[in-house]
Amino acid sequence: MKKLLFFLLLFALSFAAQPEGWEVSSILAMLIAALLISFVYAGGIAFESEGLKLAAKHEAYEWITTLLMFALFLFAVATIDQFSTGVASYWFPNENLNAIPAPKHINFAVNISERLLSEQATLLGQIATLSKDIVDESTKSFYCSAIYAGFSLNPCMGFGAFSRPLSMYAATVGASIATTNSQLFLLKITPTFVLLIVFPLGIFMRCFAISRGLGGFLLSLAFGLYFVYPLMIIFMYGVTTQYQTEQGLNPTINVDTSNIECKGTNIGGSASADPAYDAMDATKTMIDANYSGPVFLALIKSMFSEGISLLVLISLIGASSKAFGAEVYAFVLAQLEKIA
Amino acid sequence: MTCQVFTPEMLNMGFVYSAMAVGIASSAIMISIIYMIGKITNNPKLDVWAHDELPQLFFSALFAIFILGFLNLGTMYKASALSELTNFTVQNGEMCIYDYADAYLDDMTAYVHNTMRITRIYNIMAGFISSIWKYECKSVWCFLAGQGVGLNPDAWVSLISSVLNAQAYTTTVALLGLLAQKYLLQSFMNGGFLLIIPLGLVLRSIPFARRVGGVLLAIGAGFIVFFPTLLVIEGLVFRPEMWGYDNQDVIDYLTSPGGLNIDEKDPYFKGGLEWNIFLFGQFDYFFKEDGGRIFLCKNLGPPWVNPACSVSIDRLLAYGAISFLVSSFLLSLNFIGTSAGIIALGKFLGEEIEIARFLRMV
Repeated sequence: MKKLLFFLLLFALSFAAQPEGWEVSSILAMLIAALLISFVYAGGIAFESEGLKLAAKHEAYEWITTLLMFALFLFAVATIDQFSTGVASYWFPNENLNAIPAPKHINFAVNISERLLSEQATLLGQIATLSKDIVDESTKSFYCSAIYAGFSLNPCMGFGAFSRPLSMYAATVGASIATTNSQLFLLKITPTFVLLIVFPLGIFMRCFAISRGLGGFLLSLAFGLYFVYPLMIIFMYGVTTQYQTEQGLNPTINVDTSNIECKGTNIGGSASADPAYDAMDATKTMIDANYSGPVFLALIKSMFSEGISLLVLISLIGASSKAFGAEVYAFVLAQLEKIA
Repeated sequence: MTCQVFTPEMLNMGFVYSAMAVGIASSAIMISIIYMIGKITNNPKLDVWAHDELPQLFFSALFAIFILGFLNLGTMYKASALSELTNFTVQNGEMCIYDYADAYLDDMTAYVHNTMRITRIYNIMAGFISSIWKYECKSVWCFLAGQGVGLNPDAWVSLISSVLNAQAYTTTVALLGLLAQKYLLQSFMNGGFLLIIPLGLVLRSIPFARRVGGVLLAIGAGFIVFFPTLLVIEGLVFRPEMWGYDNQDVIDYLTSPGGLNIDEKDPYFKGGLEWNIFLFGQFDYFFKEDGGRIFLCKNLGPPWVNPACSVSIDRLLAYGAISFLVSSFLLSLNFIGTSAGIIALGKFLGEEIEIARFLRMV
């Protein structure tokens, strides 16, 4: 009997695609679905078929659920700005969300991502400068040659030991920049993607039994992307900023290595300083420079925070999809961690 | 405008119709015989079985009409139909969904490929520049003997390779992901239509093969309807150029004579190394750190001021991140969405489809 319902619902697809505006088309799709359900139930009464009646009842429950989701989502969209302003004023007393345009929670998350991006790009530049200063000296060799013979000395070669950690830090900060960029891109497209496309199509598809799976998935994606993901980014930013304040971590490297100089050996008889002493002094400056702190901060503020936010998003999609009428395998999304 | 990727004419409909007709007719005969045997032998089990199978046969015939009608409808299902359901204006909306999905994958493949090329150029230049050593003689007798200093001033540039190596890997995976989706789309549009759907319809009309037929129909319809629909949904918004992340200008600038003029195909590329560095101690290409950002630049000649520079490393990383999103991330979303659609459709057709293993495999 379900099959009969299937064919009746099929007609609704073609009719409901006509109106303009997603709210109108969603409402019309729901009205047509309601009409079809009542037809099926009437058929069940007329033919004294319990199967038809049961199918109609089942579809009626799904219809009510869709209606509730529609109303809940519209209510949540309408009130999220007030909610996020209230939460932000408590969590971030120095931030003024009134100046941020709606949707405030997403635009605030965009703002946060742009700040992080700026911090991380500056940090990468600082690591490059530091590396340049060190490499300039570590590769410096002093040579002396005659017509047939000569020798070369590289007294500060030991500085090269800093190159590998710096490369590793640069790779880490580079990965953080990439992560923050992907986060920023996702946040930028979210209002358009969710409000104009995913949610309207989700509601429309969920109205009908044949497309309920995809519709339910789209609704859980819309809910997760629009509400949970930006709020998680804001939350994680609050957590990491608090940690940064408590630990006194600085997001930038505060060391000046521009004056590090490896002096040559006293071959020409000039009065240059003892190279060993200079090298020790320069090494001490570099060791004292806290460049791992800012890199660690970049790591937890971007990759760690993004990882947690995505995990929550994935878990939510997995958990809520059942409620939205779809059965999804969110582990596929989690596999992305391996690729990333 | 008709579909370029798929046209219903590709189907050998005569064969499909006749095979289905044979399947349905033979099933009807078999059901009648079993019903008669049930009556003759007074066996209620056979009687019930025949009663259950008859409506299924009827629905199989209706499914066939629906699916075949839907295939024709699919080629008329335009991307612009989505703008009627949403508030979004669809560009190139006259394309049918299959062509639109295919064109979107092509656009993204071009984007990811550009990112790969830019990353490769930066990596090549970083490796090249970081290997240049300079020697400076500090003696007036340099042509006979002397003392001086040798150094590798741009060795720091090698850390750019450390940053971009991961991106080279990620963009390669991203490109493969897009090509895999394109292959999947094309194969289901052609092979899927030609094999899975007709086979599913025929099997669905045979009582003992009904379960297999239902599964084939659900999977076929899932990949033919839900998968391209998801691609079209993404193609409306997940376009880097819409959000200021286009990279075509960047690759053009890097490779064109009016820009940095880097010939990525020349294995002996020296970039003015021979004369400029010898006469002026200045290599044409270099990485510059400016305002906290690192740029690839080219000197335009003496007096070595106002170099031409391409995008910064962090901008290039943004291209890599978006390449990852539009490929690997969306690939997973598409599989999740398609599988959700298939599972629900399978349940509707009366089959529990275990698609998790297939997804794990993919």
